Amino acid sequence: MPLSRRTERALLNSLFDQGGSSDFGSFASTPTLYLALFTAAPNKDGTGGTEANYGGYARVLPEEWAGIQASEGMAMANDEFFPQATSGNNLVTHLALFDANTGGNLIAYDVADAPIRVTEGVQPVIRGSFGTNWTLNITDCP
Amino acid sequence: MPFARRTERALLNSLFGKSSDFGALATAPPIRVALMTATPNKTGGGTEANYGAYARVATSAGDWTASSGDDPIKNGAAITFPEATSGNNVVTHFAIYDANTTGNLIAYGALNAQLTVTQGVQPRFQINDLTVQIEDCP
Repeated sequence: MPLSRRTERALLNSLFDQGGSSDFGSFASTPTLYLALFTAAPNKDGTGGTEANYGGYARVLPEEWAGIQASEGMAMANDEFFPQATSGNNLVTHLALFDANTGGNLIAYDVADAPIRVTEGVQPVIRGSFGTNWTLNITDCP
Repeated sequence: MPFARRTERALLNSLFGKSSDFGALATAPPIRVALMTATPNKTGGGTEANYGAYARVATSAGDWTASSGDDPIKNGAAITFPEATSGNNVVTHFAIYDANTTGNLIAYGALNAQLTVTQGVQPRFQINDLTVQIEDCP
């Protein structure tokens, strides 16, 4: 059975620590959400997938999320820059959110709008600004 | 974008007041089960049953079985509505609201089989009849 739009919006706001904007308030243990780059998709159960491993790679911690009224989704409010590659060669095809800067639990994942080739000197950036690149929605599908 | 199954479980369990990886919601909504004769949509609407003596049923966290594995939230206790004293309703959907009357729609779904309620009939959902989940991709 589907959740109502209001319920979805409230849960998203709570999950992304926008408790002040959520009809349900905050979770007692709101996860900290780190953005990761993947070269192969993870599975829904959190297994599988291959995370980027170019030289200098690390997950990033988006500082600000913003609700998108029109799509009822959530997006990064700003561009997010990953470390510049010092070596290696990765083709990033997917993005993922985890609750830790290494390891941790998979929160969500998606296909990148376009693959990103990362070689030495390249600094991957995921565009924010209200969904130009990546939005989260409880009912969206890959 | 899809949420991980663990995330879906945690969101649902918190919503229904169950133990969750994300903990309790500061303002978790009351869960009231309603009968509908016309389906609501994502933003509300629909037609609620109005047979004589009809009322929504209040539930608590203990009336629901937590989502685990790939399973959705289910009612872990039977949900029994007042017996009809008059009227004639064909119930096609159920809905969950956050109040005994009016309030906000939380979720809704179609019944596997419609139920005709006339005088003397007492609608009842048996254990596990109702399920709530984050929508799967088509």
